[in-house]
Amino acid sequence: MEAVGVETAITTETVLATVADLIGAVVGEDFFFGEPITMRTSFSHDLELESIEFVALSEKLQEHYGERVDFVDWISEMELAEIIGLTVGQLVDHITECLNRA
Amino acid sequence: MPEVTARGHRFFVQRMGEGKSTAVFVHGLVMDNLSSWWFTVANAAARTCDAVCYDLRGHGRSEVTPSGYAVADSVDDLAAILDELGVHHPVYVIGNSYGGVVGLAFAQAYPERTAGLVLVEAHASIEGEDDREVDQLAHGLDLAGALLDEDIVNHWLDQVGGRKLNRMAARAKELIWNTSMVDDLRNSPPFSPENLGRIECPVLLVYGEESDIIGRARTLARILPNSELHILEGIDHTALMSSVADVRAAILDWLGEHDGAIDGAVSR
Repeated sequence: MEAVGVETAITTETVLATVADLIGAVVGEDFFFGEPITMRTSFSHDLELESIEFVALSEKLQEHYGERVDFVDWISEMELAEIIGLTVGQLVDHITECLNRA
Repeated sequence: MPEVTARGHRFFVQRMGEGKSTAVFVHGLVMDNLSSWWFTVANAAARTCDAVCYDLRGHGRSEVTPSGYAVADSVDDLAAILDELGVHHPVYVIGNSYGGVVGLAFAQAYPERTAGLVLVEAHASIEGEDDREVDQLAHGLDLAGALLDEDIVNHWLDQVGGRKLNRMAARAKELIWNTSMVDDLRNSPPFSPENLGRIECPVLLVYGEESDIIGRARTLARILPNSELHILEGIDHTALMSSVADVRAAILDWLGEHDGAIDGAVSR
């Protein structure tokens, strides 16, 4: 049975909005001003996020969501090539899954 | 805990995991920051220990100061960051390239705070070991060598695009031209074999077989009394990035063997 009620349901859309906001907070004023951020946006190729900015983003997400979202195991299970090809959607799905499990 | 103020300056720090033992990860010069450890080994280590990554002064998201880039400064920065984090027990210092130089110098300056060292592709200058390539590298700083090492630059170029590259290049230029980093590192004294011989903690040396400084690794293995040399076949100076799984396994296995509290099996 799903532990999450309708009013507190964590949806892909709400998580995506949070991720997009926090990307803006990390990269600051020279923020990507082309297409809006979608599930298919790639961190490396579309956003050209530097790896250190991704670290800062994960920290902001951890602050926002707390212990419910696990980055340590998730990152340590990924190969460098997967990390380089990572999309916003993969991150959003991971967060959504963690939150709905918690 | 994104930022720590140490010695009056702002450092970007990431601390992950929990455990009795602490591993501190130190990155290389100029074209590097804590993310190279964060994405490769540090999060895996954080499954069984307290893992700390930080950006060296002038690098990543840490403050760019006009001066204070000598090896001794890097060592004091590290000690001050650990103080700020409340880490007073001996730590494992795990350094890549220049980060390994910082580790060696830290073990010399603070033997009581060093549980062990891992040096990945560190170019430590040693008195009397005068092969020209290594002398030119002066602790990992060589404009024609380490900084603009062709393999490393090409590796980055493969991965980064315009915005990233421009920002990285701007940052590198700022460090090289607007700070005393180059002079500070050139003026940092080489290690003496006598002092290196007194480093009693266990040391793991991880170097690529094809690395231009593999000779230096053999010298360190000879001088450091409690060291072990792990050679990665067919790998060059970019070992950490080009041979992630092997480097990670070598480091975590070694930590597991030397520290009862750390489980090396998590590398697999």
